[in-house]
Amino acid sequence: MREPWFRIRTPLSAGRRTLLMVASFVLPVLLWCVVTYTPAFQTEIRLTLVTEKIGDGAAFAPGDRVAKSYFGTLRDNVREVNAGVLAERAAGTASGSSRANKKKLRQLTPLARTGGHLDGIDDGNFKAIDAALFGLYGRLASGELDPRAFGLSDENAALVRANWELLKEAVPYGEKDFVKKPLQYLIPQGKSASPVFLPPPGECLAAAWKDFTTEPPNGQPWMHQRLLSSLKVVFGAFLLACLVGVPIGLLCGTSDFFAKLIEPFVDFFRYMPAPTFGLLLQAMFGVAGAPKLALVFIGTFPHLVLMLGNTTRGLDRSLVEAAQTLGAKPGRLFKSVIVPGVLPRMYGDLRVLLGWAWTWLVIAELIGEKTGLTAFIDTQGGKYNFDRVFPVIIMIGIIGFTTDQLLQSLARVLFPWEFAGGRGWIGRMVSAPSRLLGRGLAWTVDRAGRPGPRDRVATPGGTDV
Amino acid sequence: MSDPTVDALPMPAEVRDRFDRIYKRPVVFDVQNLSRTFVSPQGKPIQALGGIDFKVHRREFITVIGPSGCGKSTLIRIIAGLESASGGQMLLDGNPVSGPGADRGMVFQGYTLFPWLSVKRNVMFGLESTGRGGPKAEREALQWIDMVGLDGFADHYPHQLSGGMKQRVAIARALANKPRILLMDEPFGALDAQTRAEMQDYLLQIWRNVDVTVLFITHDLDEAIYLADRVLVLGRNPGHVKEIVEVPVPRPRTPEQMFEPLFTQTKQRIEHLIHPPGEMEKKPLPVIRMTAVGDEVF
Repeated sequence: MREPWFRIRTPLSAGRRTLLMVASFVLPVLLWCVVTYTPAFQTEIRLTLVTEKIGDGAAFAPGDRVAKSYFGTLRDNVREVNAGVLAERAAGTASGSSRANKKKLRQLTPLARTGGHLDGIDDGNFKAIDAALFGLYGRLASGELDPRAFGLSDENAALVRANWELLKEAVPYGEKDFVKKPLQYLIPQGKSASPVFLPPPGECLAAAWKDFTTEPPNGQPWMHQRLLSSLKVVFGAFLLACLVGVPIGLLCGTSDFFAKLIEPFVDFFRYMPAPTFGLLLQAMFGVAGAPKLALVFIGTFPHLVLMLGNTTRGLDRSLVEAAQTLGAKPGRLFKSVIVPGVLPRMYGDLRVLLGWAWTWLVIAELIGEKTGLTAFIDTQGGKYNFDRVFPVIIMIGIIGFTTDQLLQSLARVLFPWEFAGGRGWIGRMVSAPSRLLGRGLAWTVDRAGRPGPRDRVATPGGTDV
Repeated sequence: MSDPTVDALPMPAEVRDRFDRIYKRPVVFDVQNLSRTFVSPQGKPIQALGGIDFKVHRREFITVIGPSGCGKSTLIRIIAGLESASGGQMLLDGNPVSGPGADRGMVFQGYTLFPWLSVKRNVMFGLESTGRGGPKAEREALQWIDMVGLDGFADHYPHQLSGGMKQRVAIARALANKPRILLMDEPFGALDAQTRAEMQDYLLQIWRNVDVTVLFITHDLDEAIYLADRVLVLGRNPGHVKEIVEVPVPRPRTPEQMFEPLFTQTKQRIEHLIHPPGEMEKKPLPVIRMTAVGDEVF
């Protein structure tokens, strides 16, 4: 009979658990892919080719997004303008300027840039750009350059050819007057895209690759430098909080005197939101790193003291009593019973608090001079470059999660008596090499006829009786 | 003491001799008029123990038994110094004591080994606490571990041991301090019946080999009689010494003795002291008819 998947408070088999744990990560990613790559969910068009502002319409730059429903209207408007141009030209009433025509020529700029046809030419060097674009126009019209490969729609390819009929009078470029008869606009082009707040994973990966591997402009820090700066704030403040909070928490849990003297105020203090101290801290410590450390400290310290106090109070009283009946005096009780006894739970508390430190980091890094990963998230988020923001957010998640898992598996090594059961999955992966090594050792030692190096758990019924 | 069953216990001459020898030994521990009053959450004083008086002679094995709520645990915790008495005093070798100390070792019902220390380090804990650490302490600890039959387990950790083994380490740990009196608070209460029987024999063996006086609390009547020279029977409301019964069963004790008349008579007598006939008169429970069949099945 197959075991049912859904049973109340009954553990699943190891295989199923692994499967579900993998699914727990794969499903959200799948959902992300589905939502961003399925055309039905792609409600926007990202423009790759735009006109200048026409009539009372809005001006768009390449990369701008418009709703799919509006894109058709936008194109129709341009077609209408083109029809007007043709009509005026037929009627002989057309008036234009070389300047206006050159602007129309520049509609090709974004596609030419992405195609690498403008490499080596600065954005501001219009003369060189116009010359290059004019050359491109000719090659596209003659078919020397495949318009499709260049990225033009068939409609726009036809328009390029039609415009070239007028433009070719200006060959060779620069030696004659530029064409004055009005050209037709190319029709706006764009690609179907998911909403701006939901960039697809592929784009995020590409953006991440670029952000992590290319030197940032204007002397801004590299991503790994940002990460390092953020890690410094998180771990610096966390260690500081531990340094001050652990002894206080232990004292509170050990003696009622300290508990009653310290805990009520700390309990009150933690309800005052740490971010509200931001400007105060800036006034106290300046705009550099110090106020950031201080904010994460303020965010974690009160919780640390209270949690640790409770954890310490939760230590099995009978351990303390046993030590007392063995003649341990208060100093030794604290050092040799309470501290080691509380250590495993304290370790767990600190793990939780490290997670909180990451939460406060985001606010801390916005104080004074924006720094670290948050500065990047804030800047790029402000520009709606969420494809660049997501990877950084996810990276923080991955760092936090793996740190926690590593600490958890380390706890199994440090405090084996706390863990009678199995390991977490990362713990299994981490310990796999050492286990294999251990088995190998045990095997060689067994073959040498000596007992294995690993402790065997004693069972009653064996040597016990 | 006017109970007619008091004199009904026959006492073999050898056992009588043994008691005479015991009573000639010095008194190690003397409890005088000990009382303890709690204040209830409602502010009402509740007397848990009142006027407890008894003496323990050197190398004597005394068990304490009584109905639940008679203050057995409170008594031993006061003796250990973990709680304070409201009145009376305790003399250890003639000197008054209060507060916990290495001179009164204790084995608890729960497992109180330090899980972060190996068996050896656990046993050394008391020696280190009283300034007797070092290599000598280590040798001593190993001897005590041998003494409780755990040689080879010195470097194991408590979580690798069975319940019975843990309690043996706890005994070794308490004895390593060479206490004047060993207090045991239902130390085998959490063990299964078989392990418990083994542990009782272990304890008697250890007690025979070591110069130690034992005060042992239990709620198991068989255990109380099997281990003890004298059984201290407590009554409740407030906790008081009802009687101290001399166990007439000769030593060395064996499990077979539990079926002998001497043992069963002692048991019956103590049972009567704990639950006097009449006190236990049962009120019939109401019968609730669950089926249509009803009463006729009875």
